[in-house]
Amino acid sequence: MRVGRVLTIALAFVRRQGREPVGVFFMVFAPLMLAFVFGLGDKRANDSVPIAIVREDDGPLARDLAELIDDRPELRVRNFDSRADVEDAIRRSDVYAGVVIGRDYDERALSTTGEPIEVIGNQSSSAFTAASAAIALVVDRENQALTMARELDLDVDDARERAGGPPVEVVRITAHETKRATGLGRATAGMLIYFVFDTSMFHCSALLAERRLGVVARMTTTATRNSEIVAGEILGRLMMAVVQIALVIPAGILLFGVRWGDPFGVVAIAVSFAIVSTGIGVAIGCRANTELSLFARTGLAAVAALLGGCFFALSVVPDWLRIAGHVTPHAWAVDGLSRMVSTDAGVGAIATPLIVLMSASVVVTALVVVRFQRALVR
Amino acid sequence: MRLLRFLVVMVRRELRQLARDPVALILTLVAPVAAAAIASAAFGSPPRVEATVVGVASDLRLGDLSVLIDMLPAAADADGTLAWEIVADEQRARDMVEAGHAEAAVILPPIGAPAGSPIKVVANRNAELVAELASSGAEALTMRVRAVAALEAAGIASVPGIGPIEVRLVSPDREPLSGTELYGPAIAVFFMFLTAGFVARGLQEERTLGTLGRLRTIPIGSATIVTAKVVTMLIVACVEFATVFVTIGIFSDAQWGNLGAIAAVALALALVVGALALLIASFAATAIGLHALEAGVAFGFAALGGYIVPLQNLPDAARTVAAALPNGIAIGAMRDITANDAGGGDVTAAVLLILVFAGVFGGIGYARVRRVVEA
Repeated sequence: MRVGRVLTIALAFVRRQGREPVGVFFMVFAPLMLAFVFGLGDKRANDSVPIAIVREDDGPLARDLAELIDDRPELRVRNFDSRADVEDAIRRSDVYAGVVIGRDYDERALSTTGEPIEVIGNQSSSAFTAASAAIALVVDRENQALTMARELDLDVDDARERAGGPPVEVVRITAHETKRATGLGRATAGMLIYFVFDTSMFHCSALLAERRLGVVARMTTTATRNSEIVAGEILGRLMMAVVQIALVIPAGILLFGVRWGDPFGVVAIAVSFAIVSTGIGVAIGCRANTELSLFARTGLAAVAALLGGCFFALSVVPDWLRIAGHVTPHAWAVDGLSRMVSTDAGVGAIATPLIVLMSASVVVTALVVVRFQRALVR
Repeated sequence: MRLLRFLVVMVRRELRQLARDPVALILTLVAPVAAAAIASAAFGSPPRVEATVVGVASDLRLGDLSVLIDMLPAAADADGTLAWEIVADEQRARDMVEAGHAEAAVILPPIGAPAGSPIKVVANRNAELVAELASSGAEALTMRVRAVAALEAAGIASVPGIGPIEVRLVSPDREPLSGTELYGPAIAVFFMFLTAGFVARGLQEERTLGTLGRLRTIPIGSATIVTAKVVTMLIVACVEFATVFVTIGIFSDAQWGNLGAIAAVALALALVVGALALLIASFAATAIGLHALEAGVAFGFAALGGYIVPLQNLPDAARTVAAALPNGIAIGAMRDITANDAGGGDVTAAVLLILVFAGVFGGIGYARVRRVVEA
């Protein structure tokens, strides 16, 4: 095989695709924009729980309690006018818990008879448990302040101040392992993988057009070997995927502050996945006969991405789905990248996904070269 | 009448062409169902909060630690939401957090530490919720200790843990919507937006092959050609949408509510998608541009108004944006129908608003795409 000819074919493809501004926009900006939306959603879902508050009493103590709950970073509070609205929001999963501060709250909060506040929610859900625990802790603090105010005849604000201690010192560390990767880093990794695959899928259209016009068939009439043509077509597409990876990874650092981890591990995972997806893209481009047929496979690409955890961490789905997800190369790539962005693990920690992806890239490329060569040059 | 006959013939022809590729047809119908099932499993239920918190205290402060553990009674009851483990020293606790065995460690200052020594929380940066819960618990413990000390100094005996406010956990009157009821419609709508590609790719392909030009030699207008493409897409979109609802309805316990009202919303939205397809077809000059536009439109609408990312996890502005987009209005109306048994009358305003979008997009799209067809 003459490398010069393979490179010429590959570079011709890259030049042609590079002339398409919409395509370039799609390759780089679409993953980043979606990563931002998905990442933001993922981060907020893991940092805090959405809850609702209804304040039936407008007294200062009821207001204080609502504000103290609102101040907690682990709770995202929405204020509602009635209990019925809260129940509706819980039913639609807009919030996972609702706090009802009753009508006589202020009157009874400083008495010895006490006042219950209701926390409404689905008690079998762990998100409700976390929310109710966070609310209970705020109430516990307020109880201390109200008891002190009543027993020592203090103003409630003074009692809160006297009971308050030095601030808790919170140290956040990057672990070697984590049960779940979250946030913008994970989302950018997921979108990178999805769009590398999707770019390979939309390059199928170019292959279909070349086959229709007989461009590849005409190339075979020259001294160029079939294997060189196939290798050139694959290499051109792979180059585009590598360009995409090379742009999205630094953009993730600059825009979202993603800590990608060990550069060798990240590049090895991303490029191995790019080889697999390029091979699959070429195989589909060789088989499809119409644009509509290619289009139907776009939906399949979206399903593979969902199954493979590009849009959400596979740790949130049931075990059977997590196992099924690993049928796709996406899942292995996202596993590897997520681990790199969310821990300080080295390349050794991603050995399994890396081996799986490298093996898949060898198998898929060999299959395309052997099995689809004839379909491509026909 | 003659035009209608042309239209029927062309739509049948388009559908027959689609049926010739059974793999494509199956994928078109199976993909949304599979995606709906996966998304329902992932997003449909509230996020699972599972964490191990490590407590560190000298023997003399174990009592304080048990008070802290008792402060989270609800958490302890649930299936492992917060599990506690007690270890002897700070280093061991840090090791557990670093190794991923625990999400956070609460480290109490030893007895004899200088007054005002703070409680320390060491947390995995990927477990912010657990870190904040642990930190809130530590603040509550500090406050309890100081309140008890202040009361005792004043000669008042206190009972820790009992105060005037009591938290009472209450179940809602009605069960929250299931994962499939929440995300089935969102995924069906997303795939409906993807079907815009049928019109756009069909027109693009015919333009490339020159069949559009040949069609123009017979006495039918560009409107008929374009309408045939849009009607085909509407049929595919509606079948796809119905397949998701029926399949999910059969294989899960989803109760959709008034199906007539859902169909009205879906049909109005399908018209918007048809109109968007015309816009896409008119803007895309090449296959790659077309692919970028159709995916950009589908994902753009899905991200901003499609509830694909649960709206409760996005900033408040996202809710406003979703309420101003046709897919956001449609999914909101469908959730009303499912959650509150809303009927046709209740969603009339939503349907009309969606139709306004269809009219605006369709008008601009047709004006632009006519030039493409007649070129």
